[in-house]
Amino acid sequence: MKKDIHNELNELSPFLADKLKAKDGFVVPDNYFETLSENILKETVPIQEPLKAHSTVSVPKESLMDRLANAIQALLQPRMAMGFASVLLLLFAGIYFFQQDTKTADPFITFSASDVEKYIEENIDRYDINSLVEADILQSDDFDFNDVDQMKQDEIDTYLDDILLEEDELF
Amino acid sequence: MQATSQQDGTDNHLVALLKNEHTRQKGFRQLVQQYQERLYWHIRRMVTHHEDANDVIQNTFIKVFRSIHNFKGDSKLYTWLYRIATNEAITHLNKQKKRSTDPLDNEDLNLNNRLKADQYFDGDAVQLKLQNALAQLPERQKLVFNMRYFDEMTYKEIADVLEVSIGGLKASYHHAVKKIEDFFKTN
Repeated sequence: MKKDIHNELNELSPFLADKLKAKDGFVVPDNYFETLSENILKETVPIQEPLKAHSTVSVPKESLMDRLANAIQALLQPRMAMGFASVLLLLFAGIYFFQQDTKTADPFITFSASDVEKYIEENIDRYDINSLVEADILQSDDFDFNDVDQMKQDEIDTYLDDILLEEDELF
Repeated sequence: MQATSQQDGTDNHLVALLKNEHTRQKGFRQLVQQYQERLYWHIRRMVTHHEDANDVIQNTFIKVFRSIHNFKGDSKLYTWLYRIATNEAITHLNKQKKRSTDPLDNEDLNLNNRLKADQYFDGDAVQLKLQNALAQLPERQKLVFNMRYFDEMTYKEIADVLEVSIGGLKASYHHAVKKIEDFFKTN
């Protein structure tokens, strides 16, 4: 130990200067430092290789078979394989659900025109007449305007009064 | 550790080899052989256990190799190397602290038991107590004590590595010595 460092410690703490002998008790495995440099140099090889390839070494051209083999090998790598499997899974799931939709739509196709008309007649109150006409479900000649003549005058008056009352409430 | 003019000359030669693409590998090999032991002991005293020191020294040299082109020569080579080694050791210690999140984990007891069981620690009772005392210190004080007392670096060299004032370093060393003394007297 250097004298000035020991003297400095002695000035700060004579107690410690007497106890400590500049040893820490640490040891290393046998021949550790002989192998350490080799291990470090091995670790830096992957860093050095790309540098070499980039600067001086020319890379030989790959044949078609080599490229195909590399592509297959790349596909079999865990990350690529996972991606590939995910795409396949999505594809099959898409086809399955598409077929399910088609199956559920089939019963509508089997309805006959008479069934539809019957259903509409029974539930006519739930539909807007104009939209049924637009959808070609009803034709203009389905309406018998002679019925209007048969309406009683007091029914028409009551209807018109109701409309006027609703308008008054709005304003 | 004293930076002599001879060492400066060797360092300049190493830097020249490392900066040249054709001589980089040769320069790196010389750099590792020249500094591995000093840097290992510096790291070992910070991280305590050989396995940790082994990981940190390898990471340190890999980082040196990757960033040698960034070395401008503003500081001396050994200062730059010590700075990288110190930073790597501190990063390692911080990762270790993050990993041990168990609140019932008693670090002092763990250190004592681990050192007793460590095949690469053959210290006596005083050296074991010193390691326990150092473990109580703030990281900066422990670092300064080790660099001054064990690495035998001058305050100027330590100041260059840690980029702090010499006055601050002397105060840190003084506090560290007093705390170690107290630990020895009370344990």
